[in-house]
Amino acid sequence: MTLFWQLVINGIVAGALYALVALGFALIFGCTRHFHIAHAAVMATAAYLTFALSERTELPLAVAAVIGLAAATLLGVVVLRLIYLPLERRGGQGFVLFLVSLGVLILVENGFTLWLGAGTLRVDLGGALKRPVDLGSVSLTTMQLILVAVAAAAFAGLRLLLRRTGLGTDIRALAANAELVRILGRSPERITTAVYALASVIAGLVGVYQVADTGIAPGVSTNLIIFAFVAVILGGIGSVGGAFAAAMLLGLLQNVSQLVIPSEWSISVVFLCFLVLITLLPSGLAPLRQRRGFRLAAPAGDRTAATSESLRPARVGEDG
Amino acid sequence: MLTLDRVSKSFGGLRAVNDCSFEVPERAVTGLVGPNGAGKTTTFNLITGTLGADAGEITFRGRRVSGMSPQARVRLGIGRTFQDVRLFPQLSAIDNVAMAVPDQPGDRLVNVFARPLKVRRRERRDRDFARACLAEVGFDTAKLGVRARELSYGEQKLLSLARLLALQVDLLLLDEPASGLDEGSVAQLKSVVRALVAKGRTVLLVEHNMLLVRELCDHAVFMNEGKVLAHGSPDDLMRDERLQRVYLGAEVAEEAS
Amino acid sequence: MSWFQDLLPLIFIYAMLAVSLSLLLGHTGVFSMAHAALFGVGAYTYGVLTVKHGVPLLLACLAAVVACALVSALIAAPSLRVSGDYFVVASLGAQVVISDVLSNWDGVTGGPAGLPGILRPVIAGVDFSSDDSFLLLVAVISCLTVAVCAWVVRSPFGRTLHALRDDELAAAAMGKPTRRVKIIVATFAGGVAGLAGVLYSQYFFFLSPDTFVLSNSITVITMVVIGGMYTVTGSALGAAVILLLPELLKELDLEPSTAAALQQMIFGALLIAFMFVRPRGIFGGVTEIARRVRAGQGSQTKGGSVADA
Repeated sequence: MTLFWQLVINGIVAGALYALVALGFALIFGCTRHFHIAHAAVMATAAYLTFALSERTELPLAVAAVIGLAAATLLGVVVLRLIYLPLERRGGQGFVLFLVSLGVLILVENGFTLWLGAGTLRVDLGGALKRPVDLGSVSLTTMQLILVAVAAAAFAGLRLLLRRTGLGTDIRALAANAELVRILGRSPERITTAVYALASVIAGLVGVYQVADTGIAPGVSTNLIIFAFVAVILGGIGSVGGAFAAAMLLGLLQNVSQLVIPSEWSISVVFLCFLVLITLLPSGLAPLRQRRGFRLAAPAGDRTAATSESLRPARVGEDG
Repeated sequence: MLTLDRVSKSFGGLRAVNDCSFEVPERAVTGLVGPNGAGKTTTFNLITGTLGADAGEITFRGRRVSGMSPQARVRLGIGRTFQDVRLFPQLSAIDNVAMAVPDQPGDRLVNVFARPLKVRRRERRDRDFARACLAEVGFDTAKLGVRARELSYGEQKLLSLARLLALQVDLLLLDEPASGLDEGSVAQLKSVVRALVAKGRTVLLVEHNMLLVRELCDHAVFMNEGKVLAHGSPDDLMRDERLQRVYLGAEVAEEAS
Repeated sequence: MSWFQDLLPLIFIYAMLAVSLSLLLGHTGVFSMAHAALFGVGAYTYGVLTVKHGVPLLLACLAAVVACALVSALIAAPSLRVSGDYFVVASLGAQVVISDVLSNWDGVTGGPAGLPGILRPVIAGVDFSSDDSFLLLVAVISCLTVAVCAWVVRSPFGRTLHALRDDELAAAAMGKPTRRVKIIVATFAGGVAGLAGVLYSQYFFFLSPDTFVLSNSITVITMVVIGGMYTVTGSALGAAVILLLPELLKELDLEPSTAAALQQMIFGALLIAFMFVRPRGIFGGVTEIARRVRAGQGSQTKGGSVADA
């Protein structure tokens, strides 16, 4: 029984990590419908830079982490403003943006691999943060506890932002109707930049945690972003609360399932559950939650191909 | 033939269609009129299945169509044109129309491999039928092979009408069929619609051209802000002062903003 | 030029992958991230069946193709029911899971150590073990595959695909079975990837799960995009271009891990650059020019001749 509860705690910790990534992606995707897979590169940037600066220079870890975070945020915003927005202005649609995002991801990740090597890189935080905190018969490290607290705080903070602030209203308006936002005299670009900055900071935090936890290596961020994608879909596109809940659920599922199946199959199980769930509930878990949580945009259950598709190739004259 | 019973659709906080009920009688032309933003195109989308209603029921020939995909409704006999035309830009005019002929063996990959001759024969037959549809709407035969994106707007409108004819449905929904057409084409449109009804089809059209509505429609439904305000003969509706005020009021408000 | 001769079968094999992916990507508008995984399913199904269970080669090949088509359909059916976005995520998940399975399922696949002992086929008494004869086999199968895919694209089915890609709403309004068509194309593309996998396993006589990871899916996507996602032949040529690139890098005499990372960086940069400068790829547009020339030479009054080309 103790094993079960320990796995639940592990699941909550894992869920918290996925939730942080999912929150950022849910915000971006809900507002812009950009399939911003380069979000994984933002995570990786924070992780790799934190490592490089703290291990290769005299800088203290905290400073390295802050710089890593800043660089990650900068990357997210730069990708938006220098790549996505110009392409959109030329008529590029979701398809094109995804390809470019993919390009950014592999360019940045491999850039770090080239510079720092393809192995797993970790930053040693020393004893304090690794000290276990006992909750009855189960335990987690201080660092993990902080992570869960940060995830909860991020979610609460985001809710507050979206409901009580002007920016939050702007973001929700943008998610519902970009044209309306322009007509009302607001700048969609500025709102989107704020969204990307916010999401990138959160992703940066994940990167910093990751490099201090099990370390960063090629593919780690990509695996995390896949969980985020799944969580956003399961939670209902446009629902930040849904994404958070789904992410926690995924973390729990991945860990608790290890009671009955070997750990290397846990990701496969989660994915299979995903496939089953979207077969049964195409709109994700959202309909089950009705009014609670809050939506950024209309539910994905609408059969309007125009609104539920973000990836369509541009019309071109060639065929055959 | 078609009944909408308390149908509603909201987008976020906006109620595009609000508790809307009306009937479309068979073998007649019904006009759906009202100021811009009244919810007419959304209503079309709900009827064809592009959007799912939040509440209410849509019945076609006694069958409830909620939950049916757009393709299933086409098979039942509901077809539409689009306000923004939506032709396939790089296909030729005749290909655009031929595409709409129902039950094409060429839509199945298996047939492309296993029954190429059958596919080709049907292609030729569909092409001939497409030619007939295009002739019926008065499309210029010299331009059959021209790509849709290279046609003028008026020609594209005619083409989309021909495409709907090829679909061979019993209920035709026309979304602003006359906008952008010159007088000659509008006359052509009128004769096509009347011929369709004579052959037993039913037409529901959205139009702003009130003269056309009066000449063509047997019956009209007036919508504003997602609700049905009135229905009756076009003459009755046009004489109703309250509706005039709503229509003009909305138009004036639009012009002022 | 022996390095080129060694590379040639690989080019033909990857051309099959690129061409089948372009059917999905460029012609139907469906974005799959799982093509390397499907490639792996085909290769390993064939490898395991022939090496560990002594299944006759051609039967094992058929099984591999069917297995791949099935896996592809299983990913496509639930996700495409909803939207292309779901399919991207589902295919991404499938890619990760499948490459995990290939790596972890030691008992069956040999795990990270790989699966050795795969033989080249003997068909109708002809032994294709030698490099020259195998190259011929691969070349023929590859060209046939490319031709079949090109034919599909030019057929009425291809026209339906393009309609679906360009305006799914209108296609649905015209009664086209959009969901079914997308799933069928995904299944077909999966099957072709499986066949490519079979040939690949025969080429090296050996399989390692490292080949069938996400970065390789991205490599195939790069081939399709750079070569020309809206044409079939363009994608095939794209495979050649992308495979020749690492050979140029070899001139720089770098460490293998450095070279691999640099190679991926170049792919990433190419993807970004092409989306800005030339989304239809290097070879996109060649067939268009050819068609215009032909149409100009023939008559244009006969209805539909322009679209027939």
